Amino acid sequence: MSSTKIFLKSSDDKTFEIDETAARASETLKNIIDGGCLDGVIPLPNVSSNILPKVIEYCKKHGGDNGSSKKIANGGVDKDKEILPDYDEEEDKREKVRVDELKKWEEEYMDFDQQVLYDLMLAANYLHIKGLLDLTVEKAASMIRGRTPDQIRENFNINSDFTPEEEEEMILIEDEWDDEWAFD
Amino acid sequence: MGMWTCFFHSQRFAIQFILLIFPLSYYGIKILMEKTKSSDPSHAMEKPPEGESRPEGRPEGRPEGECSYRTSSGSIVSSNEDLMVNIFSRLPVKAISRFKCVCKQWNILISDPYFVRAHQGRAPQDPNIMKLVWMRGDESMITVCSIEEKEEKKKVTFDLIRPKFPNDYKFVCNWMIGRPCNGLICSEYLYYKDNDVADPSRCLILLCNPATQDTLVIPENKDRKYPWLQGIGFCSSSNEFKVVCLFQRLEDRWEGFFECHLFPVGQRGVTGAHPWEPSCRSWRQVGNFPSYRICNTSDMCHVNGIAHWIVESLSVSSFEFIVSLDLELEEFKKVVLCPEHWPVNVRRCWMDMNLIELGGELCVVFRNCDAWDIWALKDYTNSIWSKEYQINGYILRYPLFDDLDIASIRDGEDFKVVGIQRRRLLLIINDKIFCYYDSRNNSFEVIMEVHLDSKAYKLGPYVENLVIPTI
Repeated sequence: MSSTKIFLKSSDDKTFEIDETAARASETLKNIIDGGCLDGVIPLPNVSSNILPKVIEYCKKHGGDNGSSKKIANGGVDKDKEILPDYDEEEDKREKVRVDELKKWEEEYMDFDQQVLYDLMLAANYLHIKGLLDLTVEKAASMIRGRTPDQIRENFNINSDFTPEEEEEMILIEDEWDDEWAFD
Repeated sequence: MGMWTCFFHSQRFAIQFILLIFPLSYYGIKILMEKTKSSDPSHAMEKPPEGESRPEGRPEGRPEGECSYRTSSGSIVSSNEDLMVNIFSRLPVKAISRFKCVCKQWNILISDPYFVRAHQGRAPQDPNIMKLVWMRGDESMITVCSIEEKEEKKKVTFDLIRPKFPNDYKFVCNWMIGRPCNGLICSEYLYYKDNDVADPSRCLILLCNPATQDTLVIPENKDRKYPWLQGIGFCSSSNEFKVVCLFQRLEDRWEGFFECHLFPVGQRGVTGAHPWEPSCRSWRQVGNFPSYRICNTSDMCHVNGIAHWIVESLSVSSFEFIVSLDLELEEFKKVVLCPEHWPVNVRRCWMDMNLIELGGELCVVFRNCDAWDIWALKDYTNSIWSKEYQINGYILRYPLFDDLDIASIRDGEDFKVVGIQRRRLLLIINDKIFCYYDSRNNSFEVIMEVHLDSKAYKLGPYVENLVIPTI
């Protein structure tokens, strides 16, 4: 693949440069490139200039190697299916080093606040960058995992719109789970 | 309910970073055109989100109507249902069930069959968690045990669930329960007249989803008595569960011949392939069980919509030792085992055989001299088996298992292959010690010691989901 440059314009009219190979990590951009409707600059009205560099950083890291990230993703599951003679310790070690390195990079990359997480998640969804979407969604899931409904409502500014009767019924359901949850 | 947690260290376990990748439904063009909705900004100003350190107001250059800084925390969970489904489907059932109370929108989304399926599709992909379920006879309790591996540690948690069932019935410890199937387990309860006289002709069959605690009572079979519950299977083409039950043939009740009856069970909100008709939801006979005797030691083993039993052939020269029932076509077939796979003493080998599903394949475990071989059925039509694992007998001589009589060890009695995770076999030894055994390097590690009261339990790997069984 040639290193043709692609230009992306954020919602606030700032232009960013990205290699075509890296841009192909995004299904949406890939379709635009392959569709031949590339007209100099691709406008991204849903991605702002403070998020777009973050997206580009991810694409640079993962551009052109969609296959390998898939491999990591299915690692644990695939292992069960392999047949005995295929087990190769050396290959396993190399894979482990690679995975560890990627994991470290991802840890540093994902160090941001809730707002950026949300914007990045939307951008990944909009641009169809599967790996980034999974990464951000997984983080969002881990943020709400252990919270009570009250904490969720407070944190996300949600008003309970149940009628008083429904509310009562819901509290019963909530209580049912409470004693078990206390130990987690 | 009681629940306790303990930590175990493992010597050899390299965690792999797993990215859970699951396809979201892509509506490329729709999403491309879609503008992000924002929630009411005045409301957001009153209650700033927790733990934020960024300045007030919208970030520079963000157009009106785009997700503004203050309001977007609200929209993280309300503006984009695709994202919500994606986030929620990564959470355990318990967390999700609690989130039904947050607001109406969440309640509707979580109860939606589309979400139930999305969650179900993702659940088996977490290779760090292995869940098991068993039943304690004395307390009518379902135990859900989950073994979570993180870094070098193992965390084992237990949940005790008491399924709701009519008061007149009692779960009897030597009664049958089936292995878990698609998040559901079934169990059989005996009817007690006046609280102490059991009536073996009347039984209650109960389906239960331990994760959501939903239960379903299967109606009694009006025409037949003395049910012998085998278990449940799942037909993926019609999205139906089928309860499999054997009934004594009336004319020769003590001869050990059976009629096989099925009871189809649907899932809430899911329409099967066949149009829903009340008449479908009743017991129906699928014919006589072939004229073999079922080994008392053999449980029904369900693999991909097909139920299997080890049977004792009435003619000794025959090698047809497995009978299968396709739950979708409702047809019996024979599965042939090749004679060369068998230990020398063929006549007795059904005693030492067990069927188990490992990694989606039907496997047979049997003793071969000082080891146990596990063969997997690779090809149904041609009956091609392949040897997948071997358990060396020496591991059972580990000091912990002092009280085992090595000469008489039998799979299914002294130890049992329970499941598989990352090519390691999960074994339970002497009804109490759970360990992982890796046949590649003969290593094994003890996970926990739990005293299971008797052989009454039916232990099986289990994947939790939100499926609600309905008639």
